Amino acid sequence: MAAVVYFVLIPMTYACTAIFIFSLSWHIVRVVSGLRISLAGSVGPEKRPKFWGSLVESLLFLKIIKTHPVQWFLLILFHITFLFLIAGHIELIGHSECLQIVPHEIFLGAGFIGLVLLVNLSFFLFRRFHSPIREMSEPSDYYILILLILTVLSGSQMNLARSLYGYSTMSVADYRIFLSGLTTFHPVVPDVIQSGDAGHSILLIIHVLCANLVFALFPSSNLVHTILTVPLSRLQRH
Amino acid sequence: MSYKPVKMKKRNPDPGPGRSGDSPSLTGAEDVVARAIQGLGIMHATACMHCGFCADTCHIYLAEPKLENIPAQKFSEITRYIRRRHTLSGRLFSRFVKNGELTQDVLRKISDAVYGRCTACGRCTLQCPVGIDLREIIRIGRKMCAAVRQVPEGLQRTVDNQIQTGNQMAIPREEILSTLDWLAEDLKMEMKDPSIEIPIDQPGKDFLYLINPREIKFFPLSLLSAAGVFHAAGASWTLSSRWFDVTNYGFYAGDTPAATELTRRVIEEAVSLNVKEIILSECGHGYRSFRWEGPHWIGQEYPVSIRSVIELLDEFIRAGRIRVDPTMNPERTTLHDPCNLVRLGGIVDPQRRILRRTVGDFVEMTPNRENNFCCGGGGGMLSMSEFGDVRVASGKIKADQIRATGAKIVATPCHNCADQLIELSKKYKLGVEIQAVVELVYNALIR
Amino acid sequence: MKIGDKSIDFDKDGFMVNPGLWDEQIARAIAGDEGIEEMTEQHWAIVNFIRNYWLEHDLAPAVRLICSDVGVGVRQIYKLFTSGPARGACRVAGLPKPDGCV
Ligand code: HEM
Ligand code: SF4
Ligand code: SF4
Repeated sequence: MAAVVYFVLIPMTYACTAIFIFSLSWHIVRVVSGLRISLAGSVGPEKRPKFWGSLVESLLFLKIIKTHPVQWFLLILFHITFLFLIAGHIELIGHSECLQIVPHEIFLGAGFIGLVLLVNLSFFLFRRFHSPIREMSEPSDYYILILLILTVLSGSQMNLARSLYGYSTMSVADYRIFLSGLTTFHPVVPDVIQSGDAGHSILLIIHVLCANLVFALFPSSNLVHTILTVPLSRLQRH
Repeated sequence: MSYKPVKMKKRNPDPGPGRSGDSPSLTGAEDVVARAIQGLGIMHATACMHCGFCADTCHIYLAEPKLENIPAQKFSEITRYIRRRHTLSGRLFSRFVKNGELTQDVLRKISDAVYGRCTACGRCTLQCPVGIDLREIIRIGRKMCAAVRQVPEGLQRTVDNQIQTGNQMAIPREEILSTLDWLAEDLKMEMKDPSIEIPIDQPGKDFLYLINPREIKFFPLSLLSAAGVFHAAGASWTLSSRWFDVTNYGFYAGDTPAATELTRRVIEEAVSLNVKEIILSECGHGYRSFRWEGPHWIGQEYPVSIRSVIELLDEFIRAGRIRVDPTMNPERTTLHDPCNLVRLGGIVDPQRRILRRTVGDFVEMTPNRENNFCCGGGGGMLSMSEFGDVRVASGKIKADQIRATGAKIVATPCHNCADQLIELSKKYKLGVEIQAVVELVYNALIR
Repeated sequence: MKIGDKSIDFDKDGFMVNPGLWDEQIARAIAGDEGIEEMTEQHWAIVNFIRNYWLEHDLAPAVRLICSDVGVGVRQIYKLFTSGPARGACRVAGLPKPDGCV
């Protein structure tokens, strides 16, 4: 068991993060180098405003605000919450002054981030069970969503375990030891996790496992839209 | 600007009439894809979320809401192939799955989707939140099919006619000359001015006017009106009896060598007639192909400028070169926006300015402008009888839009749309008359 | 579709698949579908001219030929056949669909 825990928490995390960072940069390099070729070959009346127009349009989902208002709201909510989520994880690595401008307990969002994401992700998943999106979907669309749900579910349960049910054996301090160890390349697995003393340490292992899989599958899933949206909107020919 | 002669590219060997279906080699199609995914082309093919937002923008899906009519679904075979052949994960795992292989069967499916269920109108592109240019992928599919002669029969025949005879209806030169004579006589009577002529092949004029062969063969009133308006404006213009066709069926078919050849002919004709400008008669895809795609096809900037007659009429009216009286067109008139001219061509306001000055009661349909629905006859649909039922069914949206305006006349600056709208008016009992913009201007002329 | 004692096939644009089978009864049936209530003498003159021209040249005649032969004005034709010479008159005359933008 200890070996599995060690494997998931350390070598697998490194490997998957490496795949993720590599594929992210690979996509960015391709976008940057491909954009020039594509713009030179693009045909049709100019799109205006060029760059900022595309940026605003895609980040605010302006294209669907009128046609699908409910989904627009859920999508905006989801993507904003996701930003909070990233900020929250940064705080788990170490104390950060600039994120504490508005003082708050760790984890950011008082337990609601996970819930909002969960509602949203279930919505995305159930939407896919519905015709015609069910027939349109490909297997990768499902497994990435299920992995995300598992990740969010375990993450939010860890948070609630501490704040709501008062499990205090595994604390923010332990997470910081683990994560800052990873980021400084002196990986350690804190004893509470390794020994399984804290009742919810199994949640952490599920959380990290699923997140790792999401990272690894990122380049071959529909999540690549995160990088492609803005340049693609810029290229659209009207 | 100088003009470098363009050599005609080799066209695909012709394996006989219509769909070949069994030419064993698909390398032509594969090469098309390899070229199309340069730059960010491949991103378009891999970024789809399968979210389905594009579904209810498509008139074909709205008319018949089934899975294969969803825009993202129409290109799924193409993107599957691209992912298999051209992405890392695709190449790693392609050994284990059949998904995405390119076979004759798959190509036939692609052909049915890109020609038979899509008019390449580009409305879905406006909606996709991820920014995928759906129409561009559909066009890749058309180019793939054209490269291996999988183009539906009616469309292929039209392209061949156009290449062989110089115009898509295979009208012989004598017929053109006699028709123009006959029209000039009519025009003299209508305008009560015996000095009017329709100039043919006259060098050194300001502009060369390209027309749709349909204006010679079946619907000459728009040409008659244009000649009348040009005369009233004192314009210096000419027609060509050789390369006069404003349409480009090579563009519809995705047959780039043919499209290039058609562009080359017209540009060379303009150079040899020594005109300053080419004016395109009212034609959506003609504008899209000559104005925007053409320079890429022939690999250089044009030596002459190029405009649509809509822009020219707008200029005439605004500069006071012709005077018009809106009470001459008292009936309620609405405007259909051809996709290739408006959404994909960028000509949005001139036709509205013209109509406001020449028509008594002008109403817009909703949605309009760049967001307008396709009439259903675009993308070469009108030449493909095999998809006639899809075409008429998908025009229901347009018919409802027209009915809601209560208009008696529908103006549209595209002869292709006009044919479809005439048929819609009959099938859906709209009782409207379809007119080209130039006909309305001609009616409103103060002579 | 059954017209008289013949069964006639139409393509998806409503043009006859087998133009050889054409007769006056079929012409009337198509005209009814066109919304032409009664085939007048002028209608028949146009239709017969198109038919004969097609039998001779294997081509639909241009509108100039129709007008000068039958002696109607250009504007008149669109009143008689609201779908125009191609999708209207040629269809009634039992021709296959002309190629191109029509
Ligand atoms: C550039 C801005 C972005 C745009 C325009 C965008 C667009 C979209 C769209 C249209 C959906 C479809 C939702 C549905 O199925 O109804 C979606 C879902 C999703 N997005 Fe984004 N997104 C963006 C950035 C991000 C980022 C940064 C992430 C985080 C990694 C992310 C993660 C997701 C996830 C997990 C889903 C649900 C997946 C699914 O439905 O299969 N997105 N996004
Ligand atoms: S381009 Fe037009 S016809 Fe084709 S899928 Fe998109 S909306 Fe439908
Ligand atoms: S809207 Fe765009 S991302 Fe969504 S299914 Fe259609 S093409 Fe794919």
